[in-house]
Amino acid sequence: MERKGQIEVTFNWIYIVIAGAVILLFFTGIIIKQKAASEERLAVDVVNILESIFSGAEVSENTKNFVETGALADEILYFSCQDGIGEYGLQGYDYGVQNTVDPIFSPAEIKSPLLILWSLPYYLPFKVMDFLIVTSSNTKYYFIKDGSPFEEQLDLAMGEQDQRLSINHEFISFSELSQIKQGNNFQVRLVFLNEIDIDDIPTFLEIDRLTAVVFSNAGIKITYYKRGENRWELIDSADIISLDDQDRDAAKIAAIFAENGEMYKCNMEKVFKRLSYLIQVYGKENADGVIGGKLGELKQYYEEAIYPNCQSSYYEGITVPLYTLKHQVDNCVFESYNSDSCKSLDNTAADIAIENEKLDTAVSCTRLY
Amino acid sequence: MKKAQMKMMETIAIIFIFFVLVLFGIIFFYQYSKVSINERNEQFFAERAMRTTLKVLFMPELICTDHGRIEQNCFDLQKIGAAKEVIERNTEDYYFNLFSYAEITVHQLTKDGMMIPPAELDANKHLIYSNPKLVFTKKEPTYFILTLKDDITGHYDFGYLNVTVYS
Amino acid sequence: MKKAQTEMIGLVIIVILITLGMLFAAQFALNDDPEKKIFTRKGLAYSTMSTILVTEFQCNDNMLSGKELLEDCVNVELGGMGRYSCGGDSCEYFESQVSALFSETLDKWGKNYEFTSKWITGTEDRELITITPKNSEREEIANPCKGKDIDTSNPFPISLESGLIQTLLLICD
Repeated sequence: MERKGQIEVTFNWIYIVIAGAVILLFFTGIIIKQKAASEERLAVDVVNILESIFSGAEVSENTKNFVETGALADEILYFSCQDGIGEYGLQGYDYGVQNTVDPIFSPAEIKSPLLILWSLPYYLPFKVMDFLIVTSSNTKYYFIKDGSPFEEQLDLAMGEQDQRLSINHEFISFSELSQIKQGNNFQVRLVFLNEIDIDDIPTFLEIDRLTAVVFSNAGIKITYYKRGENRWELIDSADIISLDDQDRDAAKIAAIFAENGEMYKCNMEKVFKRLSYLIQVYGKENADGVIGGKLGELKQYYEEAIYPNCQSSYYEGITVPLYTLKHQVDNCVFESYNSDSCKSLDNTAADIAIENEKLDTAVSCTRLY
Repeated sequence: MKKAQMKMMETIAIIFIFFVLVLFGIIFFYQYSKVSINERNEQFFAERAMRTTLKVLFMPELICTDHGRIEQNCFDLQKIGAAKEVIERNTEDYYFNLFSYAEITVHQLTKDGMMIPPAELDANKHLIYSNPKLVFTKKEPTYFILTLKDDITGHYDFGYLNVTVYS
Repeated sequence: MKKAQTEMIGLVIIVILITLGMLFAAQFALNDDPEKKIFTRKGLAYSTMSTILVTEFQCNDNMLSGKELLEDCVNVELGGMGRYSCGGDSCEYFESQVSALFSETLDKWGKNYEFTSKWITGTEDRELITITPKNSEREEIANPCKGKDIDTSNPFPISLESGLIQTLLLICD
C-alpha cells in the first residue's frame, strides 16, 4: 500500500512537471511569434506614419516641424537615395518606403528622440517643389563664420526663439574648431561656407560620426568629407543649381543637410524631372510650332494687333529661354546630373525671371507666374 | 479503483476546461486581430486619401501664383488646361507614383462672377487625373472648395476639387 | 461531489460569458472618429470660408468679392445706403449667391453647416447673415450642428473703421 502511494505521488509530480513544461513551451512559443509579428507591425506603422508626416510637412512650405519619436528614440531611421529612388525606414526591418517623387535631404542614419522636418520651396525660376530636410535634435551643425551673406541667410533661417525647438547648430570661428566636443550628439557636421584646404581642419577631434562640407567656386559647388584615421577622406561633391538673390536658397541649404553628393544629386534629379513636366504646363513646345500651355493661352489672348508689345515679350522674351530650359533640364536628367546642361540651368532660369518681371513692369501684360 | 478513476476523471475534466479556456482565448484574439487589421487598413486608406488630397492642393502645376508668391486654396485656370495634358501623357512614368489609383477632378461653379447653370456644370468640369481601379474594394471621395483664378482677367471664380482614391 | 461539480459548471459559464462579452466589446471599442474625417471637415471649413471671401460675383457692371459684399452689407444693416444693388441689397445678394453655391457643394455632399457673419463693435454684436441647410420645405434648419462633431473654419475677421465683421463657418457630421 505504501509503495503504491509512493508511486502515485511520484507519478503525480512527474506528470505535473511534464504537463507544466508543455504548457509553458506552448505559451512561450506564442509569445515569441507574437513579439516578432508585433515588431514587424510596429515598423510598418512607423514608416506609414512617417510617410504621412513627411507629406504634411512638405506642403507647409518654409516651416519647421518637430516630431517626437517616443519609444523609437533608440531605433535607427535610415535614409538613402540611389538611381532616382529614395528610401527610408527603420533599420533592421524589412519594411521601407520607396519614393521617386519627393526630395528628402538628410543624414544617412538618424537616432534621436526628436526629428526636425524643414520644408523649403525651390524656385527655378518658378516654384518647382518643396524640399524636405530631415535632421534631428542630436545632429549638430557647426558653421564656420566667414561674414558672407549666405552666413547671414542661414542664421536668419535657422534661428528660432525657443532653443529647444530649433535646428541644433552653432556659428563658430575657425580658431574655436579645436574646442568642439561630442556632447550628446549622435553625429556632427562641420560646414565651411567658403573654400578651404581640407588639411587645415583639425583631425584630432574626439567625435564620432564627424563629417565636413566645404562650399567652393563662390558657393556653387559643395564637397563632402568624412574624418578618417588621421586625415579627412573625400567622399564626393556636387554642383548647386539655384538662382541668386533668394531669401532662402533651398538648393544650398539642402546640400548642407544631405548625407553626401550622391544623395544630393539623386534628389535633385527628382526635382529636375518634375521641372521638366512643369515647364510644359507653362509653355509646351508643340510639334506644329504652336506654343501650348499657359504661355500659349496668354499669347492667344493678347492679340498681335492690339498688344504688339505683349506678343514680342511673350515670343522673343520668354518662349525661347523657356524652351531652352526644357532642353537643358531634359539633358541634365538624362545624364544623371553630370552634364554641362545642368550648370546652365540657373542662367537660363534667371533670364526667364527677368523677362517675366518685364511683362509686368514694362509692357503691362499678364505675368507667366 | 473507483476513487482513482474518479481522480483521473477529475484531472481530465480540469485539463479539458483549461484547454477550452485557451481555445476561447485564441478565438477572442483571432477576432480582435481581424477587427484590428481591418481598422488598420481603413486607417491607411484614409491616410492615403488625405496625402493625395494634400499633394493635389499644393501642386505647382495647378496652384495660383502672384508675383511668385503662392496663393492658397487657389488653382490657376490657364494652368489647369495644360496640366491635364501633361499629367495624362506622363501618368505611367511619373504621376502614378504621386497619386496611385485615383481620380482628380476640378469642378467650376461660377464663371465671370455668374453661377453656371446646372445643365452646363459637366462641361465646366476638368478631369486632371484619371486612373481608377476597375475592380476596387473601397472608394473614398474627398472634397475641397477652392477659388479658380483667371490669371488674364484677374478674376476669381468658385469651384471645388474632388479627389477619389481607390483600393 | 455534487457541490464541487456545480461550482465547476458555474465557473465555466462565467468564463464563457466574459469571453463573449469581451469579443463584442472589442468590435465596438475600436470605433473612433477617424483622423481623415476631422482633417477633411476642418480643411473644408477653412477652404470654403477663404474661397467665399475671395470669389467675385457679378453685380450689374461690377465684379465684387464676397468680402466687398459683406462690407457693403454692414452699411445696409446700419441703416445706410448700400453702394451696390444687385436685384436686392448686398446682404440679400450675398446670401442668395452663397446659398446657391452651398446647395451645389456642401448640401450635395451631405454636410451640415452653419455660416454666420456678425458685425462687432465695442458696444454691439449684430448678426448680418446666417446660412444653414434647408429642409425639404425649403426652410432653413435651426442649429443644424447641435450635438454633432463640429469643425470650424476659425473666424475670418474683416476690419473696418468702426468695427469688425466676424465670419465663421461650422461644418458638422
